[in-house]
Amino acid sequence: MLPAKRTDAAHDQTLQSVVDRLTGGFPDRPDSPEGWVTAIRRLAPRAAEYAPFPDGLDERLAQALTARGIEQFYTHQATAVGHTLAGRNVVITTPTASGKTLCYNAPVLSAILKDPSARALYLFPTKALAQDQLAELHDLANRLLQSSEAQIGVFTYDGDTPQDARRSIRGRAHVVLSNPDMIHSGILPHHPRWAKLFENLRYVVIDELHAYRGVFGSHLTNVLRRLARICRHYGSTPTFICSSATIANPRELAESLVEEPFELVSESGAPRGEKFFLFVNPPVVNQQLGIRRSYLAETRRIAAEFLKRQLQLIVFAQSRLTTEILTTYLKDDFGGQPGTSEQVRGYRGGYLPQRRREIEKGLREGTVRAVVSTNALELGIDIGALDVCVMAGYPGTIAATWQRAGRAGRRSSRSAAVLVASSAPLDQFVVRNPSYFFDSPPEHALINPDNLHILVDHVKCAAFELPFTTTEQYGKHNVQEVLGILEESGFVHRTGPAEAGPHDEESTDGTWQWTNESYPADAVSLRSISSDNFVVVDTTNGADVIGETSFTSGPPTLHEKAIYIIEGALYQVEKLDFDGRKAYVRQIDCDYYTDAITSTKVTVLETFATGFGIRDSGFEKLAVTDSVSNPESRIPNPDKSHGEVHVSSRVVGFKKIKFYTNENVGSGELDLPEQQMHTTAYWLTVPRSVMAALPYASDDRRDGVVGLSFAMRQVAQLLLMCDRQDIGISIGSGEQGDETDLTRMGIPSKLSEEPRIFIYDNYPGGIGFSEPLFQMHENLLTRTRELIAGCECPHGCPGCVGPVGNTGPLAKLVALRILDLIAAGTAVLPVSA
Amino acid sequence: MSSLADRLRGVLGPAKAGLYDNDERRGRLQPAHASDAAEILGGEWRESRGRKFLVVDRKYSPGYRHGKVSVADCLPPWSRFELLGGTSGQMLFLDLETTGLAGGAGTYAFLVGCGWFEPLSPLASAGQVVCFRTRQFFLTDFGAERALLEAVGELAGNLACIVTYNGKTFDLPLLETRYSIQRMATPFAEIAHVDMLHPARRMWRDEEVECRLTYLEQALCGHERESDVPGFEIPSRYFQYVRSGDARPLQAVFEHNRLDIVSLAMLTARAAQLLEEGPSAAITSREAFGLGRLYERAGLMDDAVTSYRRAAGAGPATIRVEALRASAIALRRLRRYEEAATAWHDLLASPRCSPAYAREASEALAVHHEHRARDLQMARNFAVQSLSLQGTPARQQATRHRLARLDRKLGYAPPPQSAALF
Repeated sequence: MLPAKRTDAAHDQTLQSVVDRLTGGFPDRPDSPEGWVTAIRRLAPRAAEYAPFPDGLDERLAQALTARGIEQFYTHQATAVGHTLAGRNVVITTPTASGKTLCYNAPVLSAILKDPSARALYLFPTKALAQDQLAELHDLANRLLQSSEAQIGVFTYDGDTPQDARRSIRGRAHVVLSNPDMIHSGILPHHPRWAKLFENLRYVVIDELHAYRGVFGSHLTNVLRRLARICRHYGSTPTFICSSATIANPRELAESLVEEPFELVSESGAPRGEKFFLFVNPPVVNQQLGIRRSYLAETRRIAAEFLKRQLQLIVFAQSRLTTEILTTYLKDDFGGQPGTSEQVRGYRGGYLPQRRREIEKGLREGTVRAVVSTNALELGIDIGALDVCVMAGYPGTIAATWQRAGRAGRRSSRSAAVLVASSAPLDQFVVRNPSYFFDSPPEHALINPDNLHILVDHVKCAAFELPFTTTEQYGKHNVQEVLGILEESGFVHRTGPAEAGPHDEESTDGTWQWTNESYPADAVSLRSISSDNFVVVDTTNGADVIGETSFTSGPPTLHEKAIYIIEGALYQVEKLDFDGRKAYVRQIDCDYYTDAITSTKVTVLETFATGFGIRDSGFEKLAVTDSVSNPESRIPNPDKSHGEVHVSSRVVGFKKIKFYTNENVGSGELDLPEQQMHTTAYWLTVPRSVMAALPYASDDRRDGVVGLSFAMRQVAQLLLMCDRQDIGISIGSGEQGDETDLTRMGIPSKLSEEPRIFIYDNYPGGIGFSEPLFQMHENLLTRTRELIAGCECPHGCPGCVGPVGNTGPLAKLVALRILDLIAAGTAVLPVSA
Repeated sequence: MSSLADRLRGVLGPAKAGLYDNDERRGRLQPAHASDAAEILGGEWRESRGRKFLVVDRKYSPGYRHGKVSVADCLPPWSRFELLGGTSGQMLFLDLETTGLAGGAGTYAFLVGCGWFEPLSPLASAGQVVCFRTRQFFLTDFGAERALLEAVGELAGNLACIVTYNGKTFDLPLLETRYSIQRMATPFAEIAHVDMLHPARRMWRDEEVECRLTYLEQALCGHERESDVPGFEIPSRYFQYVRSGDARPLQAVFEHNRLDIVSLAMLTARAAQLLEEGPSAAITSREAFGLGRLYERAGLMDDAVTSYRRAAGAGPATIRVEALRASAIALRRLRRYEEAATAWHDLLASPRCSPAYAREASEALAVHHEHRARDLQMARNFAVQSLSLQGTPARQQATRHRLARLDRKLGYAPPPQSAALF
């Protein structure tokens, strides 16, 4: 049975009472990092702000919208639609459920109504999102068909589109809903078949823009460069409409992805009810090891508080496995009577589409009272607005957290979002430093489209699609030089200018023709940097390929005895065939995972920039004058740098780490081939004087640097909005021929006089993290200090400088001391002999 | 730091040895080489819009023999060519050599090979000398593609039909893409197209080998190619020419393409003549069977049955089984029920008859005996036999119904535990 409909006031009262129970009735108290609820924020309600339909919006569309109950736009919609109708590119970053899709559907449909030859291309990061948008667009298109007999064809075109339907779609689609991978390998290389689309392409819509960062974003820029070449060839100049979750640099990201100027629309005019945001940290149960109570049990308890008062809620879990665990817990607690419809549902990728639609509908209609989901429901799938969102674990970025929290929030009533921290370092940092989340700008999404590995792949694809001319430009590097090198390998051939007749309109440039049998797009995956990969073969029953991983992350994740996790199922690697690029695994049941110990050496090839970190502003000048006046005095090296490096790494062993507690429960030794790459890195140089000023034994000083690097890595990951495997860390002198021995844990047994901590891009050629890290140096060190100082463990734990077993007992103390000395500018003090 | 060029070389890996040496590089686009192509390949330069391409013409006199078949043996008109989807009138045999098999904007048709019988028009005066001609359009300079495609279009101007081998999937879509890249309309859009791959597979496929043109040429004409270029080598020979200007490696490619066109014309003629002369002209039972299929598709059921009967008469048991089944079905459609029943009987009696065909045959015979021959006991026997062979649940159900009805008609008491039967 459905709960009786309550008035808004009664509903608000109920929600308030649960929040009071959780917070002890003091919603306005200050942050308390040591408490169970570490932070509470109240976000004030906001009234709707409306604006009339902009001039230039087709009258028939305006009528169809009115018939649907939309008589005017929210202000952000009106502004965005105004820009796009005028042909200006726009990026929209308003919250979840603020009516973003209308910002692009309105101008697109309006343009098609005015000129039926007009075309639009929509890009979604996943196929599921395209399907969801298809329903929305079909509805509007049908209304327009009935009211004004306008035939508007809307189709998805992706890997799932049947071959025999493709030709008809090419002919009939006004709006094509697709994904970057399909544009890259299915549409651009076959552009002649799409001539009608490219000749009339008026709008390109890129939804979920923030998903295109790192490698994926760097690839997308190149796909869009190729799209631009094709559009130029067919004589069209589309306007871009992008929508993004809240990130620090939406306009910058849009401009670097599309390489054109953008207008930013970030002020939402959509109404919002009052919202509470709570941070919860499960209490410590083992002070010595820094072990907390299971965050899943906490999540279950909190969700139950809301659910038993009939508040509809969504629980976000971090993996498919935890999704299933939490679904089971909540079903046990709220299973409903047999025969009634299920009130608690799970939701994740891997469920059949029909089942997903049924759950989405149940949520919209209120028959489903609670859903436990992976990030599958984070993106814009329509499930209506719920009362409460509980997040089991920090979603990894500020942007994703706000997007998930946005799933709760009705227009006129109260809602709540609760973040339950796990024991992972990132979670612990965020939950203990609430201001990082609430008060600082969200993360930067970073890309590096001119990474040579990525660029060269796409230059090949572009040359296949249309010959380059000998004066054409593409990307930041000199593409003519790139083509010259491609010619050496026979990919292209340069032909001279035409012996043009007097009336020939063609330019006198020569061209670079594609002279290779291959279809280059097939060899390029947009989701990784190199097509060389390892496949994972499950030999439990026969031999099934169950996964793959990139070449660089192969050895650390697929070495023998490694635990490989996919969809929550655990496998152990029995054999790694390095040359054959295959790992043979068998399903097992165990309570630990493995973490490879990689011995990494970084050699600096070229320093792009150096600078001084947190010091008095006068310091640099002082140092210079000092050196002039007194050449004998020691001039400290600058402490922050970035540049090109050579990284050689070898997996030498692994640790077994217990789930949930992160305890180290064993280890093993390995001997795998060395991997080498050129990439970019940021590095911190700990000045000689700082090292000398540390009143500790040399082993303790080393532990301090190692602990510092451990903590810096966590914070860098946080600031860069990247995944753990996107960056690597190494300690060393960075000089050629540094033959320092490494311990079994992969750290130097002895430090050089001025050790450097490298944080490098874990992709050949670099993916654009190093320079931003160099710019964020001060912030990085400040946050790292907060992470270490704020951790209540006595000597180090997985949440700060690493578990005590890895680093010595003084690591935490020494790491803090190093940071303090650097900050105080101790380097300028004369070094005592 | 290394220069951009060095870093790029690092990214790309070492250039493949031998693919592209410096001598070739220096030689590129040298006029001396470029003019050689016409001489080496035996063609003439054509020029249009300041762009040059090469046209290579060959004539094959009526006495020219391709194995044991001569051009004179193949001459049109072919009265039943329309059964293959062709039309009477001028036809063009087309075969492309391309820079790859993947398709897409970067795959070029560097050689457009065409062939036709002369006189092109069947209305030409009777005294005219008949022959077969090939014309190959060769793209020596990528910039000349538009001019080349225009020239191909002119040749296609008055065509009634084009004939290809696998052209529905490969050659024509690829040419369409080339026209479309040059922003030109394809001249083949409104023209009938006969893709000989499918009829050839019906009539001449051997289970053991892929049904390639060179195989058919050998099987049908007894023609053995000497030092033919393997297909996979063709793109690289062309790229080598593009870089070096040396056309010699392409001689064999041109010959390969011409042989393909002549073979295509000859096998089309063979198919058309078979359709004209009927199954008595078929040499193998497979050919007769394939011919039956072609007739059946065209709705010529009597001709189809004659062909199937001939196919069933001799030859391997696998073909005999297929031919018997096909003829039984065709005869039933022609309402020649007695003959159909004979064919089903023969099928059941064949040693290579599969359980599925046996079930189909016994079911058909049960129907025949119940409704046409009115021999209920026989009908029941066949129904029981059909049940003993595995069928889909729906079919099993239908047969059980039939059996129950037959038992009623025969006046048998319903079996006490009917399930025991099965």
